[in-house]
Amino acid sequence: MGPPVIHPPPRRRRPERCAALLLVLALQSCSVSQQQANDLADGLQNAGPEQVLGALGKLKAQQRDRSQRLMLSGLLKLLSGDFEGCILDLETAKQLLAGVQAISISETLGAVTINETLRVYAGTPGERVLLHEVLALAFVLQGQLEDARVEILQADALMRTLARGDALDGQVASTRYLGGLVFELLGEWSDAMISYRKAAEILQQRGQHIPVALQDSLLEISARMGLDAEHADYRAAFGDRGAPLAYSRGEVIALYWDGIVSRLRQSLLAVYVPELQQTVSLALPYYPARQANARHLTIRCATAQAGTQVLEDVDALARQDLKAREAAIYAAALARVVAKSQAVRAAQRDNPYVGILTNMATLFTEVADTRSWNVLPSSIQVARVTLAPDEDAVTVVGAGLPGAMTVPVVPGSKNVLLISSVSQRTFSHVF
Amino acid sequence: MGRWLSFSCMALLLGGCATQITRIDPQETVDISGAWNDTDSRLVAEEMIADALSRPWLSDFARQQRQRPAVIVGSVRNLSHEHINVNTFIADMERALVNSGRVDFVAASSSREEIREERKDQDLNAREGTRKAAGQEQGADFMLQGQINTIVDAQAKEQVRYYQVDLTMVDLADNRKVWLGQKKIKKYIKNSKVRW
Repeated sequence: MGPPVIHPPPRRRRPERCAALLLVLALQSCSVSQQQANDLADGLQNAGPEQVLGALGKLKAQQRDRSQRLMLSGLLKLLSGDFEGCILDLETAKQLLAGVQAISISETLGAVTINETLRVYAGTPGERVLLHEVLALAFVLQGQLEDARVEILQADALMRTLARGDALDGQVASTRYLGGLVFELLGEWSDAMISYRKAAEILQQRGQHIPVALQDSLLEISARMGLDAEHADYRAAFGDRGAPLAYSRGEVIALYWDGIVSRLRQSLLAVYVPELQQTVSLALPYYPARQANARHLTIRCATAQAGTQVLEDVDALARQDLKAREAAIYAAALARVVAKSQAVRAAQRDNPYVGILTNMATLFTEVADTRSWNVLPSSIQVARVTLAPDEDAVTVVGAGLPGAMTVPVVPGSKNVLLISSVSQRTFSHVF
Repeated sequence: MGRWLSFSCMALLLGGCATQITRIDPQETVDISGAWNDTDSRLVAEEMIADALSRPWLSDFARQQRQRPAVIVGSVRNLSHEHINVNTFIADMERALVNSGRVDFVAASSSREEIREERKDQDLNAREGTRKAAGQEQGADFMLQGQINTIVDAQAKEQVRYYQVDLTMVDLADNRKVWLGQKKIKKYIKNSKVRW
């Protein structure tokens, strides 16, 4: 009998190690997919909406990013002229967003232990209102005014819910303006007046110039409705434009989407703390300084011309939304730093190698939530021009376009145009 | 570390739930979002048509003309906050009217065009004995029109939705409104502040 063979005790596999590795890999693949979706927006200006839409469709999306993906694809479809596809995607996104506005326990747990991207994308207040606006516009361009009206009413209900005292949280002037236009086209003058008035109030509160198109609408409808005192106030504020024009005149109402809204970036801070013997990291979203100013278009008719003016500074709205949620983002980040630090310390006590592995896991999983509706225009502008009686085309010129564009119009009708600097195409519907 | 991982994994796992599908009776009332649904459409149509059929305009017409009135459903405008499929509501009303057996029902203008096209086609292609002649359509005596309105009052997670459906039966001979029906629905919706 030989000496007894002593088998070494089976190495205790630490499920934590495997779990940590899997967790890091899973989260990294998610953040890479989110990053790729964000990068696509950067190429929109050069590649055009159709190509970006195709590339977006090839990217894998997590269930929690589905509403964001639908918002991206919906808007790209609108810019590609696929209004029905746009409506389908954005309606689905709207329902998804409505279902995730309550605070989630599991997602908050994920946000304070791993990172904020584990939350289901819920959109910002501004994005949620703009979602209704884009839908309403898609319906207008399809000639479905009553469906556009529904979106405007929903946007109104949402803006009333989001309003907090005198603060302008979730208050979007361009949505109010589009509401006024929809009611005007339906001949509902009282509601049109209310919407235009609210659009002007938002712009005044922001200290922003009221576009001439909105000034004209306020003057014209207040006169039409016999609101003499209010009409006199507008004449005093905007100048005397003479007698209001007959509503039956032909007109071009041009909505211009200029540029692309800034996209969120990640600011990552990683510091080795000798006292803790670990590297502590913190990732936060931020908007870089604005690069470009708004570019404008000119709509030229035979007897008149008008320049587009900013109705909504979408870029500023996005920054305002981020500012409003900064406190919550910082609070979650702080909680995350503490949670991750405690986890690393516990692992270090158990085994220094596991401690290093855990520290690496906490570093790799620290990712800022940079998801946003980053294919929105940078600004939404408006111009209205009265057509001569037999005029059947207008010319559109501007820095955002490759050259002068001739757009056919129907004389004696209301021609609603959407022009985008991204697609460099014009979409229209005649009422 | 174990605790951190447990929390993290739990958070990841709880983030998504599997889709579950259950077949239910179409008559069963299921309110999910609080929006106008199939039950609202069916109940409002049935109740309003029952009301319309119990009013004097029907018996007055039958007594004077010695026949059942022919009714056509015109437009029902959706002026509400929701994308209501007005066609299902109109279909519910048509079904309730036809099934009552007390009125004749004529096809709406959009359907008539298709039927006229078919008659034209019959003129060319059908056997003589089976052709249907043009100019034999039954004209409607009354038109039913209406609109769906809503008032939404919302604050934070609470919402009251008030629906008002107004229907009018108009005598096509002289534009008299012979019946005005109204049905109101009020829903209180409280959304949860917290979800799992």
